[in-house]
Amino acid sequence: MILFLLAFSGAVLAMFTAFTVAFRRGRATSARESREYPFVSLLKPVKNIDDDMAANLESFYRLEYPAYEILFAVDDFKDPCVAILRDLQARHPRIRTTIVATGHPPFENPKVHKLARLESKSRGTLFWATDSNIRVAPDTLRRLVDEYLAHDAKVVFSPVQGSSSRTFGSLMENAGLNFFTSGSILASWFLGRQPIIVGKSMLVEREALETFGGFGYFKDHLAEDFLIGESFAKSGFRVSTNCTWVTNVSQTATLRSLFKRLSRWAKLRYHLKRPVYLAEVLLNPIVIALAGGIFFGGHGWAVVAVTAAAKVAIEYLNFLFVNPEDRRRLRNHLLFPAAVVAKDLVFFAVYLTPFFSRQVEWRGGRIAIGRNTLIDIPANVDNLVYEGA
Amino acid sequence: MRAHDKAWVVTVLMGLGHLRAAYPLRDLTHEGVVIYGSRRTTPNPEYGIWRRLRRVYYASSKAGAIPVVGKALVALLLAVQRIKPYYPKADQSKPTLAVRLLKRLVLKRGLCRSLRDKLAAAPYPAVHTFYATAVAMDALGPSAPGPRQDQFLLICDADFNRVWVPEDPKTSRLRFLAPCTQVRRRLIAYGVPEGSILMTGFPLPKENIGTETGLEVLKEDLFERLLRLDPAGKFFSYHEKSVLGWLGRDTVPADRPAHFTLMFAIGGAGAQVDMVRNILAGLKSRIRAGEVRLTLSCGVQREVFERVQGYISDAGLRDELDRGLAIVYDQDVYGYLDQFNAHLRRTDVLWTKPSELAFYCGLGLPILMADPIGAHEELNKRWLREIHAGVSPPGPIDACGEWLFDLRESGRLAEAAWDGFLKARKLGTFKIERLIRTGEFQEGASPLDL
Repeated sequence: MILFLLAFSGAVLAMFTAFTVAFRRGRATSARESREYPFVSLLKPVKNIDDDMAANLESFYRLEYPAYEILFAVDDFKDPCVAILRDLQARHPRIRTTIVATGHPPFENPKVHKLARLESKSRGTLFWATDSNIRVAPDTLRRLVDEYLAHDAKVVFSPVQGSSSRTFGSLMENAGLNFFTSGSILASWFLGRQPIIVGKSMLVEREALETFGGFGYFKDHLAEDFLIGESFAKSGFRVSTNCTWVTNVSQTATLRSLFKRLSRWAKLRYHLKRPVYLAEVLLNPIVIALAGGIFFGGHGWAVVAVTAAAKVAIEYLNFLFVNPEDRRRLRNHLLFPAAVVAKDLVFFAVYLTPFFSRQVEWRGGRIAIGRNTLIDIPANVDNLVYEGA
Repeated sequence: MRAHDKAWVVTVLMGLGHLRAAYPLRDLTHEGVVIYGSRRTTPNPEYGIWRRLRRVYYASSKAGAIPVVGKALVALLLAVQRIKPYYPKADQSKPTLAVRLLKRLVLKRGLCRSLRDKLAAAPYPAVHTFYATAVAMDALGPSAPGPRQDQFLLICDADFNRVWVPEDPKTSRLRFLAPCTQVRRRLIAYGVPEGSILMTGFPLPKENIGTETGLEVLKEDLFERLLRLDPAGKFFSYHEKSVLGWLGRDTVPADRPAHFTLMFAIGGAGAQVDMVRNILAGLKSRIRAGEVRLTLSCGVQREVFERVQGYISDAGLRDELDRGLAIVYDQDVYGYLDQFNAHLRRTDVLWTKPSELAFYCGLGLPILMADPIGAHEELNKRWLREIHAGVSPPGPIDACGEWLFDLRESGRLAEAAWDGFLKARKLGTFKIERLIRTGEFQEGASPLDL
């Protein structure tokens, strides 16, 4: 039984690697000549200072795209990142930059709240929402818009490349992004046409979004990115990707910050698609082998060793092809096997958290979530506002 | 009863019906409509009880769509919700199992206890649109010494189950607001003293009526509607004098608008959402030709809204949105009801299951009756037929592009609109407001006794 599960797990994970390697440079969308590119509003909710934030944001000012604006949303102008934003605004006067302070309502998705406010200030026919720790290549936006134009896609999503590891925690985090996250995004799309949208980057058509009433439609849910994909697809709008990767810069993650982030994502997945989440443990072969080792001893421990070696090999392949920046550092090569094993053990610990808690920590706040990541609101008989069944 | 300038208006989210009944009374409310049993207003563990009740309600509403076992489940649902035949007349005051269960939930499990504390904050009378809160307040009594608050329960259907009435109606202080004569009869059969029954009519939105004495909005909308529903002039050939007299018009214009507007209202549980696909298939060419405009009322559920959008995309009619097609949807229930009422003014035919919306025939809207869900809706359907305001679809849904136009051509839809206007009470909102504000109640002799 254990061997069967390991074989299944290995086959799926090998497929993840195959997809990430095969599509590491994206797919070509038909020729762009004679295309008239629409004006795009880049929406960036930001808070505090991320790793290498100035360089990340700077990359959005170097896009090879004819007409776009950048809109930043912060909770308030005391946020330390505002200085970086002002500096960018001053250094790039030719790109219209808007900085908006939006406040922070207690029981709304803070990111959606910001996106909705930016939406009202924007002029674009397309929105490109990206996180503040994302860095992009100059042709990223053009490639995303090519996909939009070529296939009338109302949402274009991207796989995520984790990069720039400086700590052991970052190496684990980036390996997880490149292998598990992007692997599942690509496999789900190419095998089942199921869009798994990660909010790190999504291009959305304004007109289509307005049929829902704008970003505000998703304000009561924490996993707005996944639900945007699901809602658009259910409503008959085309959702697509041409595998234009964006880079998630994680340099200084610690074990603690990694655990928090993974735990948040695990709870979101648990509350979105519980059966799929329950099956996720099958994609952790090291844990499966360990369970076998504990029960069967002897040969079981040999199986653990072989499984760990195979898992490291599969992920190492992914590392070599998908993460060119990190592979330039010898230290990352040396630490990688340990990082993979440690990551999978952390993944398993994280996997258990949704069974014990609905609380999600995010940007300094704690939010409880329910079905479909609906944000919980403390009961209060003085509050007579309707919130749905 | 003493006069009050305000009242508590209490409802429960169990579909949209009870909330729709409460919303027109919002001018009367002390601090907005109290939506009890919802996540924000109701503390645990009581919220858990409401959540389970709501799940059962939604699941049972959709049971008919389940393959194979669906019909059996619906039969079971009908048995549970059974309303005893009214004839032969008999004393039906003996409490049922459901009545005793509700009492047990109130007294042993604490159902509505926090609501009692809430209502105790101000000494206003309370108008309930859901039986459980009203029966609970009656059973629990005041939380502090002092005069008891008046409790009113508005019945939201044309006939109803025994569970709406307390265990011992003779000793109860609960008073009932009845939307139609059959409700009064049934209340008496359940043992409610006649003095506790006030025939108010169902509360309809004032924005669709105008003033109590003038009915300006209603009359204006109805006259335009009758013109759109009678392209061949058959209805007016019978009823011209009556229409001109009641609606204060001098003549019937010779020119009639070419199109009319159909609204399909999906119930709060979303059980009828799949009908949209067939309706779109049936009306597609008519919509494209501008002969009919279709409004799809989706309620407040995201899932319903998204599926409707999907059906519109599948039908290739997305470009008709805001032209031949409109969607009524809002995540906020008040926003939805505002939109719904605004769209109703432009609606000529309302296609809905015979829920509380049956009473909207009083606005001069012909009700095209989808299949009822539950015993109370079966009886709403019967009531609509009795007053000739309801029309059953004479053919399959995907042929609605044929039979709908035949019904219009024959003047039957205009006739249903007119009969609803004449025979259904339409002043419920005003009468309940006056009852609270003056402490007095005067029942009109007929629905048109303005």
